[in-house]
Amino acid sequence: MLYTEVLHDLIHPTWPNGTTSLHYSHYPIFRQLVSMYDRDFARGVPKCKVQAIGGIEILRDGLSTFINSVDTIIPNEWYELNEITMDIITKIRSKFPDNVIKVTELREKTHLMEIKKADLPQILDYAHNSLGGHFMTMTGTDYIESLDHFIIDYVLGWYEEGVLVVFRARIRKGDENFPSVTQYVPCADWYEREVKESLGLNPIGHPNPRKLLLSDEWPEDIYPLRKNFKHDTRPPYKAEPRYPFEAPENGKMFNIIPFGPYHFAIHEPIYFRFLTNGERIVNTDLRAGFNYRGLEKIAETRLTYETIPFMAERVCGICGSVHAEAYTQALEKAAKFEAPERAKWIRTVMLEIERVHSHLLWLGVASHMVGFDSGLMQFWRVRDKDMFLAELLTGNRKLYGMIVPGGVRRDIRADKKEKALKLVSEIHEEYEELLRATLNLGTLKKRLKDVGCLRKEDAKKYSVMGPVARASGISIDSRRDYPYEAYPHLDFESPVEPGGDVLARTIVRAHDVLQSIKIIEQALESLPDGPVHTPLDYIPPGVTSVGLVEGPRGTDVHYIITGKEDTVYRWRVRAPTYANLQATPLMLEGYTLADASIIIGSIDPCISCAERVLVVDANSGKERILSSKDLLKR
Amino acid sequence: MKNILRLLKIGITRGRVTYRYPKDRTPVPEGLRGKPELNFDDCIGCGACVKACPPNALVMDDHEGTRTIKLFYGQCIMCGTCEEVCPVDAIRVFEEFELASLNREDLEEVLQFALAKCKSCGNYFTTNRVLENTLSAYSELVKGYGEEFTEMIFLCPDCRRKDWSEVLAEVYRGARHE
Repeated sequence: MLYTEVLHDLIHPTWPNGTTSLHYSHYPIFRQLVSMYDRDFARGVPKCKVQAIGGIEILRDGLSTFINSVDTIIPNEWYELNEITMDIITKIRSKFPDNVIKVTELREKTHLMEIKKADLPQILDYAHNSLGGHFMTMTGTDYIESLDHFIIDYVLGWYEEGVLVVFRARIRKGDENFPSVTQYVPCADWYEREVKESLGLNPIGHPNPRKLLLSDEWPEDIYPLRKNFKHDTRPPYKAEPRYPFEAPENGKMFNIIPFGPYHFAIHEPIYFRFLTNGERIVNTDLRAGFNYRGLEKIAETRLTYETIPFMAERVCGICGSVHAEAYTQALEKAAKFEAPERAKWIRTVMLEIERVHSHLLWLGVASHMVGFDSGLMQFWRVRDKDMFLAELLTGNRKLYGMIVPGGVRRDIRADKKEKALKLVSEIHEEYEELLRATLNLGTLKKRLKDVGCLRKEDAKKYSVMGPVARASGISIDSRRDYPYEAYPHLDFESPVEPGGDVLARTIVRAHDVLQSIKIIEQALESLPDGPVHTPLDYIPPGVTSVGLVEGPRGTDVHYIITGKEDTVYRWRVRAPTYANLQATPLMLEGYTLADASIIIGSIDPCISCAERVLVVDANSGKERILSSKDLLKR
Repeated sequence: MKNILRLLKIGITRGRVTYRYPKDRTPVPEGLRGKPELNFDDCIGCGACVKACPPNALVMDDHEGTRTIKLFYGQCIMCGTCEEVCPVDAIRVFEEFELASLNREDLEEVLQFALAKCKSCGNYFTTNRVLENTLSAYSELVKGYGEEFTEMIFLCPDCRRKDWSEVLAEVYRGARHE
């Protein structure tokens, strides 16, 4: 498409008579284009021999439109970027001068970089492996109906600098594939598979293009996250579904040990398939997505901005507030809205209460997994005090329903604050007493040490999050690096351990609890006065926004594109387990089966559930998979 | 060994903290968001709660002059949004949480309201109670503006819009004439 066509198609109908629907003043390149058009138009026929234009963003129909087709690229004018971001962005730009189409500043330290889809692998390889960008999330969005294309966004973060860069490429209708980046950036594996099955965008060159989240019975050519798919459609089941598990190499004898989907040692359904040589795990294959609930689809089609936080809270049974907060943060960033101070501090208290009970729950479960049941009982006893604290402040033990766009729903009264502070000091005292007794237990230490090691390089390569990364010596914490709510005003540390084994993960979490208790005490004591809720007035459509919250398991990333009429156009939840689980096969390799449950447990997996069972017929050795139909028959 | 003794000490001194639940009642925290209850006497059937309900536990259906508002506890997530938006405090969240039942009917609450007809086109558009509520709320406000102002309350939104545009057009014509 030449620029003249672009102008005729999009701009001419409203320009130059009415420019109200075009927000072009910010885009120098657009001005350049207009002047070229003017010049040509004055000469009579607009057929200037300009080879290309890049990155014109026009707000049409309330959605960002991207027109950057064409053959080569005109050098763009660059925005005055923040100094640190400039560094990363100039590095990428100087490395690939001809490939970066345009950079837009979404907000401070957050940039949108538009690139061609063919350049995705080399640019992301450079950004992730050479510049050390942490892989945050990746999404695909369907713009077929309005703009005839899809967009895919890779979000990379630089924790140290506090920078986020969204790499965006467009995929035209009819040519629904893109070069996979998984071979360079291994953590992109699941994301690209998800885009493949949910949107039908094919990652070419993906080493492992199997199904991820949808069930095996789901037909191949129906893509649930496309906009023309109705949320309540029930497609016909595929007959005889089969998941192609990795087969052992020819000529080698291995045992296949199924682990899951319902296994007593992992508390949620996920299916691991270990290839073992004797007791040693040689290779691990993994089938996830047993309970893909399609929350994002429901949110995009049926819910409004105000009701999504309640759904977001139900993404996870443990860290509900984290998801509500991440969604709210993304929305408030999109609306350029600041919540009232008091609300911010109350949100911080809620997030930390959740971290305390999540970590205590994990310490209990981990104790149970290694056969140390008094640990389970005692950690859970302390945990219950934290649940009482939550009850006191919100009325509920879980699903607090506190964090909503605009603030929080309940205030902390003065008398409740006193009670809460008393409870916190009790938790502190009992927890320290318990920690002294348990963490020094010789047997426990021996059981956890040098088990499930994840080296620092691998942790970086797989972009693991939170305590798993911090236990491998990578100091990342979004509370500190991407400050939000009241965290910039609070004094805390995030513990880092170099070990990389299960013991290191245990110690990181155990010390994290002490820091959280410190934060709760500080936040409650210096709670500022003022309102707790002010409504958001206007949320502009078509804004891309990313919310980052440090949950108990790591950074929770919510990506939204705002839409019209009070609904989100795209909402993508990336829970930290999604990143950490991809690295578990690495942790398991070379360890014994007896260690498997504690290694898988050590990332604190938070998975969601199942609909089918694998049955091995002992006589014939044949495997058979029961479909939901078979299960209903019996 | 020292640590095991420490652990033993913790076990003995802290004692048992669990409740024997069905026998011992656990203390219900203040402000628990539990079962929401609809009060028919206060409810005006405006449907604000239906619009706000995130999981669609509250649904509304208009059929032949009757509006039915149905609350199904099986779907309720006890978020309390309905209580927040209710203009007449007819739906309240209580601290009751033990809702398990063998009958689906026990988990349903159904309210029915008579609908009012539009005075101009004759279509049903809202409940009588909403009109009564509006009248009493705005009677002070519309005093001295004449009958037709009060009459407008009994028109459906479409007719009201038509009516208003006619009034405005007349005013505009008059202004131009002068």
